Amino acid sequence: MINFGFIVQSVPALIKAIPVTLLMAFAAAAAGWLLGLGIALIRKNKVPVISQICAVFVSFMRGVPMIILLYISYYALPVVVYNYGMSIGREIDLNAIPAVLYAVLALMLDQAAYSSEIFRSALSAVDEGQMEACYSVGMTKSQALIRIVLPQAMAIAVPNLSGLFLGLVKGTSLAYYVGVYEITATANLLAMPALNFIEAYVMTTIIYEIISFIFNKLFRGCENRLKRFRAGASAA
Amino acid sequence: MANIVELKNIHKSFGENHILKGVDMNIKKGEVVVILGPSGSGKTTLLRTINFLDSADEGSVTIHDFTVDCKKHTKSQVIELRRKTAMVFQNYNLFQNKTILENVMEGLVTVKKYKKSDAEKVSREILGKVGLAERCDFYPSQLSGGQQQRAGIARALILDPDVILFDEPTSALDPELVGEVLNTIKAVAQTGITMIVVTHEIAFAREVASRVVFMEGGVVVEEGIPEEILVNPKEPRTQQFLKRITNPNASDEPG
Amino acid sequence: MGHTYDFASIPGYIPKIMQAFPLTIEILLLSLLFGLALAALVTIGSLGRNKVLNAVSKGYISFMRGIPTLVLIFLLYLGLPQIMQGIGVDMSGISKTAYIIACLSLSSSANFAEMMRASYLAVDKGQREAAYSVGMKGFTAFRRIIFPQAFGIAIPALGNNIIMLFKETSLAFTVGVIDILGKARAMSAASYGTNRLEVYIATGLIFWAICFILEKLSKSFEKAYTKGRKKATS
Repeated sequence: MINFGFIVQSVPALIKAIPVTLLMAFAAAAAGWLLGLGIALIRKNKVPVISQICAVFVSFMRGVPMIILLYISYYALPVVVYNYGMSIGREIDLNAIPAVLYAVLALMLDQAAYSSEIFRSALSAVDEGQMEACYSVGMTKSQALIRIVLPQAMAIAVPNLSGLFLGLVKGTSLAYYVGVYEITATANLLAMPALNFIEAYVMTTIIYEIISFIFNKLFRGCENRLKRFRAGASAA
Repeated sequence: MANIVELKNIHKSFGENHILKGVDMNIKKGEVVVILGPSGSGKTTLLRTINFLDSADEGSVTIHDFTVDCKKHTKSQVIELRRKTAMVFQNYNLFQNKTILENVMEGLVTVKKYKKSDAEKVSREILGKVGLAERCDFYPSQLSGGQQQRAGIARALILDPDVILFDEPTSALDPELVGEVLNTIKAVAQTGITMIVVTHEIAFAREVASRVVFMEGGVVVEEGIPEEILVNPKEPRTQQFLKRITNPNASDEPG
Repeated sequence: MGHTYDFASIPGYIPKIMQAFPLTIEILLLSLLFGLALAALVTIGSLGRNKVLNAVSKGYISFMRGIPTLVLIFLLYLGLPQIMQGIGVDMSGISKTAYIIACLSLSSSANFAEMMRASYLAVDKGQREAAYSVGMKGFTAFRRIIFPQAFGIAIPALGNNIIMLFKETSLAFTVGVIDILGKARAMSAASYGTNRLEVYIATGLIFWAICFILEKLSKSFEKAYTKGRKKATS
């Protein structure tokens, strides 16, 4: 009842799909977290108007399921791109846009919203005296942020970012529905012809578990490195 | 000699609360001014308006011939003013993500644009002077309060400011650690640098102050040399305050 | 590909999509119930003295947090019947909705378990000792002293987890259940995809609105609960 031949045959194809999953996750996290940090700083400094727009954006992203965001991105983005192309007098071939781009866009915006909340609370958790000490030695606000406040906020944010990233890796499986051949979609494709579902999905599960295990460890290490300055850390 | 610090008609409110009600103060180069007063008298707020950590609602601050109007000032004016001052905080406020050495170097490197190697050299020297030569590579969280505060003093000293502002530098310390910090501050005072110290340590004030200012209710009640103010105060409010604070039950003499 | 969209039509789709709302709520409530029950068992296992149960609970949580819900759905809905058939059990009588409820219960139980564990551990140790000191027994101390406090601590996380679970119900369409999103897809298909963007935006707005309401409910419940505590103790 278990088709071992199928397993042996499918492993290479599944492994080849891992980079697609990881690349989507990395791209969405890198762009999304940067955007999220920007949103956090804007909201923390209560920049008028933009701050309110950001709040609505965050609320929307947190309220709408990933799969619907993916659909909206998949069906709305081509129109935007097409209309932009026409406005500069060029007809853009929409088939030339890889589906992965739509997926990364939706995942990225989702990451931006969630990470902004993490950064916001991390920034608030840094003692106000740190900023004052920066001012007292004559630093500008941006020097203080970059050199003192953000490094401390990052150390506070890492555990939550770790959870967010693991959720993101899992979320990439939904990109299947907009036609990206990542791990889950590949498994489905392989399983279909001879209905080898159990084999395909057990392998898929193992792959996700391994990825999640590795990143969990990596983030832990990162966390320990970043908070080496906290009390209880090993003495220099 | 010209004044190095001039405060004119400083007013400050937090909401409904009128904390400072027109404070004037002139300080000459090399003076050690100790500000005393009950809590809520506005002494810490006054100190924080000097480097615009709290910007006053009215009045002006002049340091070394550079004047900033409290009502209308630009960011760059405030930064220039701050670069003429340094502060030692009640809770030390050392940069938690930097080692003690890096804490002292930070201002030199980012603000004064020293080369890293030069900054490190002078920073190590000054840390040696406050007795922390062995602790350079520790993080603040690994040090006692007294050690952290001495590092805080080194961080202020190294910037060679026109004036150092001390905001209750020993209030957060365990009693047995107060002495080491006060001794460090005394040593700094003897180098001739201008200092403004907000504190509750009467004995310390008597020993190092060139002038004592007594504040209450947001105004300067009385000021003069320590012998005058601390031994024979004229104002009843000052007398009362001194009686309360020198009461043996509330004593916190340096050890 | 239609390059013009009729955004004014969006509100018109909402009532139609909402016809599937009762099913979505049914899925949410049943998954919540089973998820919490499962989480309670896992939490007992992880907090107890039995080393084996500790490890099993920890492994379960870590496994569930590693697997995408979509993969779990495929594994159970497509894979499990294949295995069961192999040993002679026919699973074809089980409804699609039941599969979805099972999957969402499993995946949410890990989050709920972590929430329960953290809230339990966040209650001050002295509380238990104080309860014992006045002569309460183990379970009484838990029921009257520890649980009410842990529950108060857990409310914000509980609210968040319920919102996450609600969003995950949108995966029901993957096995063909006509929940809110399933309905939206059907409507989109019925018009050959010409109105799909409008329909999906309408669906997104529905989810957003409901999540917004859930969040407000959670906040006001938290306020009411902690306020009640304060009154009771003062």
